[in-house]
Amino acid sequence: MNWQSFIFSTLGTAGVYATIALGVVLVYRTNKVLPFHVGALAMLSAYVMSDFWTAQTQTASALLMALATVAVLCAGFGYVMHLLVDRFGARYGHFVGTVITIAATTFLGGVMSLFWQGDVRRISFVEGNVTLFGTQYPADGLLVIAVSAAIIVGVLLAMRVTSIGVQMQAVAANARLAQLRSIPVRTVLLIVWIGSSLLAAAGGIFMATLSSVSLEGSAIGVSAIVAAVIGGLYSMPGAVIGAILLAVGESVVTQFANPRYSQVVPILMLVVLLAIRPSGLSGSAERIGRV
Amino acid sequence: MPISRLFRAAALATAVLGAGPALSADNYKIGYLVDSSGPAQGIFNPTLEGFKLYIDKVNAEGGVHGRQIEILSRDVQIDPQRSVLAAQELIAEGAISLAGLTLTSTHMPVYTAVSRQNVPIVAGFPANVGAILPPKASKGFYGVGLAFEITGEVGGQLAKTAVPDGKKFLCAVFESPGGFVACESAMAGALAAGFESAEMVTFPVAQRDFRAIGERIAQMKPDVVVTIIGRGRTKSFVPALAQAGYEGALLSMECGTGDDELIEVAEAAPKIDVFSYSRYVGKDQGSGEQYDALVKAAEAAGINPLAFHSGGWVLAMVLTDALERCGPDCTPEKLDGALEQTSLDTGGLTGAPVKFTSTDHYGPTASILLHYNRETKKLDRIGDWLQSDSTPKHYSMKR
Repeated sequence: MNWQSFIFSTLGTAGVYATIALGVVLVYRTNKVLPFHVGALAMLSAYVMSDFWTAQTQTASALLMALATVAVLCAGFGYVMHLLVDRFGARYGHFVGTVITIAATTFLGGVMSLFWQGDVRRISFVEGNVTLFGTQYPADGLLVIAVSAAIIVGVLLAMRVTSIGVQMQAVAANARLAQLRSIPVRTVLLIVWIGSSLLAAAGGIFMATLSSVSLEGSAIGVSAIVAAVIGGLYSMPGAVIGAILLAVGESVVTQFANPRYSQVVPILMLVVLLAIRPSGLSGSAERIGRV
Repeated sequence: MPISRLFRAAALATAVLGAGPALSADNYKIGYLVDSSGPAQGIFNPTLEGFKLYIDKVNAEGGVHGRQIEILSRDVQIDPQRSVLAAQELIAEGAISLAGLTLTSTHMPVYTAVSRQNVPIVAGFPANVGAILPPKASKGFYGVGLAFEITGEVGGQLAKTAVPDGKKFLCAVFESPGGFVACESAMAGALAAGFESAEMVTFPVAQRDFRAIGERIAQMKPDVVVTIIGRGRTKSFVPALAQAGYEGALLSMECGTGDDELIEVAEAAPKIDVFSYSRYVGKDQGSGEQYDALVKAAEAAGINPLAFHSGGWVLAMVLTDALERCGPDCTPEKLDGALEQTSLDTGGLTGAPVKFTSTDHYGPTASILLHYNRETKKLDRIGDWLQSDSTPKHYSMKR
């Protein structure tokens, strides 16, 4: 058993799950909508990235162009999701908002199938290996761990120290009260949807770097949602811890049991968590009482 | 995204929607089940492309008995229920035969559902089930792809050719009925060929992240890893294996991987000695009348001909040949009778002719071993075709 490789691989996976899970928590806290489409959006973004950033076009300008295209695409998609959820979710309830995200998943899957026809691709930013403490690690993997960690820390800090982060927390706590305090709730919600889409895109590009981008890769969205649920759905640090626990669980099952059972891990962890702590690791039970 | 890919997607979508040659009641209708939008589309779409290329050529030359052949395609992904419903629908639309099919898990449901209607089924490349093998081949059910009981054993045998001093054999496969049979028979073949141990690693069909699996395999330190994982997975499997430090040999069963993909991953894994073995030839691997015709037709259509396309082309050859012998007033029952007497030279696309009898609906096959040459960046043929009959040797003994 090579523990260094095990930890390295697990950290990479946790970074992917956590990055996407942060977006899930953002959307859920502010909209009460579970964004099932994040996995499909992650893969779509990675496909787009792989079209612009190929082995033949690895220049700084190509990288900027690729990232800008993905960012514009995600911003546009986030805007559309905001409009749809705002219009139909407000009228018919949060459940409809979640259904819209499920419909978006189907739509994005169809787009990927049409344009990329089930193609499987890898994205590479840095070739070769890096030696750390006598062990060689793929440079790409280290880059993913470093960038995902930076994004996670950045988002957590932004929620505490920036005005938009504080406004998001205010909207999440009580949207009506936030509006009374002159917080532009719709603008904040729009930023949430765009931010969540960008986080999903980052997660997809990370996964394409660590492993590959494919139609089936959309399943990382489910893992990210499970990570967010484990963390309690309202807590960003909880989602990060959930992502780490999930990645460790999957790696342990693959290494020590049978790889075929690794896909059961998210469901198993959910069942165990719901049995012993239904509100998640950092959540608190919602009190429902008769009025 | 390359525009040509979009055009090809649109062309294939048109084919799947059934808009082929001019429609007429006089046409021979062949129902074709394919995965055009699901997880195995990368494997099954190219076979349909090869099938269509040959049928287009036949139609352009006047058809069979003056009648055009019409392909009625249905996208069933890898879903048994969708496959059964589509098969019944195609028969209701007048299909004289069903062809193609997707993962092995869909084969027996389709056969069971339509066998009473006496419409023959010819399963294509890559996956065929054992129900077509002697001594009791299922009536009306044929295959020109890979019966894994046979191809698996061949893999075990060729692994020894690839790594003569090898002692530890490992088979990696995704979970499907055919996949398990393939790996079990490959292990039986490997042990019979002289390997001291043989193990199997399986993973779900949808698996795409192989880093932890690569670590596990690298720790087992096999001398050769036989992969039966098809197109797409190889792209993430082999680099993961290389990153985990594996430095042995890898032998890929050509069951829908594609030489292009194997060459790409071989470059990403410089310390892994990459081999492949195949029933059908790809570009630069064959010679003969049909091989030349396929390459010409594929290039005219902007397609790089791989083993998939040869498999689809031969499937169409088999059906066209049976239609010719069936006569102008061919019915599904008569076509079944004609298929049972198939003996067809594939013109350089395989190392053995396609031969069916009343008790053997698979026939003899031959496999060629290919080795990735890092200097030329091509897969070179090693030795001659390895001939096999349609009876498993070691696998049946093990069972």
